[in-house]
Amino acid sequence: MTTKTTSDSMIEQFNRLIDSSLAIEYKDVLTAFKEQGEFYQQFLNEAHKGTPDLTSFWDIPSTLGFQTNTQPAFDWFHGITGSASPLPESLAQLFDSSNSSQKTQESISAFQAALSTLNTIHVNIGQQAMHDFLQLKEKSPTPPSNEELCQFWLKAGEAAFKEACQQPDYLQAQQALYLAFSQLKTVQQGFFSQLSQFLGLPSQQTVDELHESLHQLRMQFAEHQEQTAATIHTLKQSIDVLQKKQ
Amino acid sequence: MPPSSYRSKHWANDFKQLMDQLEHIDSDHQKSSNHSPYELIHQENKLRLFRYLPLDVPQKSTPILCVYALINRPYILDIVPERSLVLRLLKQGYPVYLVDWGYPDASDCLTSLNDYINGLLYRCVQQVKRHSDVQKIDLLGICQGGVFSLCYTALHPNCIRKLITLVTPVDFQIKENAVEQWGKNAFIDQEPSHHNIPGQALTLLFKTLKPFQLNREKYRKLDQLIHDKKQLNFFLKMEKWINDSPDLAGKAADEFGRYFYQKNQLHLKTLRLGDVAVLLENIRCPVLNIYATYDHIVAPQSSAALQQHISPKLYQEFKLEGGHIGAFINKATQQVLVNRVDAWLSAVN
Repeated sequence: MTTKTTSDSMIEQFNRLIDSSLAIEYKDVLTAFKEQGEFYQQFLNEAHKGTPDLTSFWDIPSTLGFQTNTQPAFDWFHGITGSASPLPESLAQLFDSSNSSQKTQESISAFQAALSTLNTIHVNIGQQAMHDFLQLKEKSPTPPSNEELCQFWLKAGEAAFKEACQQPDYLQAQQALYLAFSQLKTVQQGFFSQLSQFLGLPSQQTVDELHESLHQLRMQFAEHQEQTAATIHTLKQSIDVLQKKQ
Repeated sequence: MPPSSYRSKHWANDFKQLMDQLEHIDSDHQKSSNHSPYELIHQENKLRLFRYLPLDVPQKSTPILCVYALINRPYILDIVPERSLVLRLLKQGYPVYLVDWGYPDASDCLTSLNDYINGLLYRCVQQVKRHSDVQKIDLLGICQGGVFSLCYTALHPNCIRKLITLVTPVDFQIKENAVEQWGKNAFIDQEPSHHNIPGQALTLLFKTLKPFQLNREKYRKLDQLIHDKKQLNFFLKMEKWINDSPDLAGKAADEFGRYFYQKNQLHLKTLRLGDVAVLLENIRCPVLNIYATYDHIVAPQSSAALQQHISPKLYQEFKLEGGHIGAFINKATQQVLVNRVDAWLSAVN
């Protein structure tokens, strides 16, 4: 017979809550606290052990929720950079027969190049942050407590990021990323346009024209409603004045 | 025993307590969000205009229309009773109205800044005027809502008695400000696509401004939440609000990026909406400009630039010690803010 540890029972309770009908925002909060709790415990363990390389604790992509298994995927991002599931063969042929495939490859390459530049900067941020962290630790008059270590971690990380994100190389890399992202979106639209034609659906141009008409109708209707409401209000006021005179 | 092991055990107990509390939380009660009661007075597509029900206190004659940004949701102004800006204004006897821009969908992608300011906001102001039977109202614009309020007041000066701008950017090219740098970057050399901007992307952008603070540190101090139910409730509401960012209507977002972040047209007096020049010097009503000293989203200098456009006789500014959101939801700061707003609105100019 085995005895459940506190940790086992905690994980069991966590999994039960995540699978339950608990509101999604509470599940997200629980997940965030669990992930960050684990992060800080790992960080403190490594910091106490005197691990020479702590840079991964200032890794920007994982801090922002990328590259984690439990963090929900960003739908908008994956929608543009492509899904993992392969295209049906007939659609893949259609896609390959156009020059879209080449454009896609070019755009993905540009996107990856921009990401790679940004990643280099992120590595530098991690190194700068670790350097600053170690200095703060050394300057501490007494061996820092866990709380102080976490404060040093935060201070070093934010300072390194703030400094780096204002530099021209960061801004250029960010701009290149935006551009590549925008090109990917254009390629995606081109593909959808081909797909619509293939499936006999309304073209993007038709959809755009419908949006335009709908938008104009909405605005015109709202203006008429406003004019009517203003007229009714003025009439009511006139009636009130007349009734008071009688 | 090494400190980390102690911490680990300590954290596990705290996390267990958090799970217990969330497991037994009355989700319906949480969802109801015990906001101040309101009535819907106008609806147009996704937009809704609310009037908060007055409290049993002597009422002021001029209503305040609160205009929040398109980014995130306006319920931050009434997030919990003890931090509700709306409730504090109601307690002072102000009739309070609120514009809720709603959640734009793909069919709204062509809604422009002109539509928002000269269309939707214009009609909201007219509705409030009629509903409260006054010729002029007071506007309270927050962040981007402040930019809209400034543009609106410059274009329709006869409708507004007094204007309050809160954490509102005016000069969009402050070098030290990451949002302004990044915003400028996002619209370079790109053709306008007019596809909506996903709210999730905006949330990520704002969380990137202070990555370690906003993505890790705030989930560290578990023990401060589990022993204070009100604090936990507030934390949960804030989490919901932070992640509740509507998509931005593509055309308006693109125009805002180009006209404001990239070209700084409002500050440089070159902005045109509906083919009419938007000149802040056309504002003829008193303006109270409130900004926050630790605002990492709207730099204090960006807000303070408003002074260059408004006649000194009409202009007052006030600094709050706080951040972008804390300026109006922190209990202490909020009280200072409301006292100042009340004194300024009540003063005979």
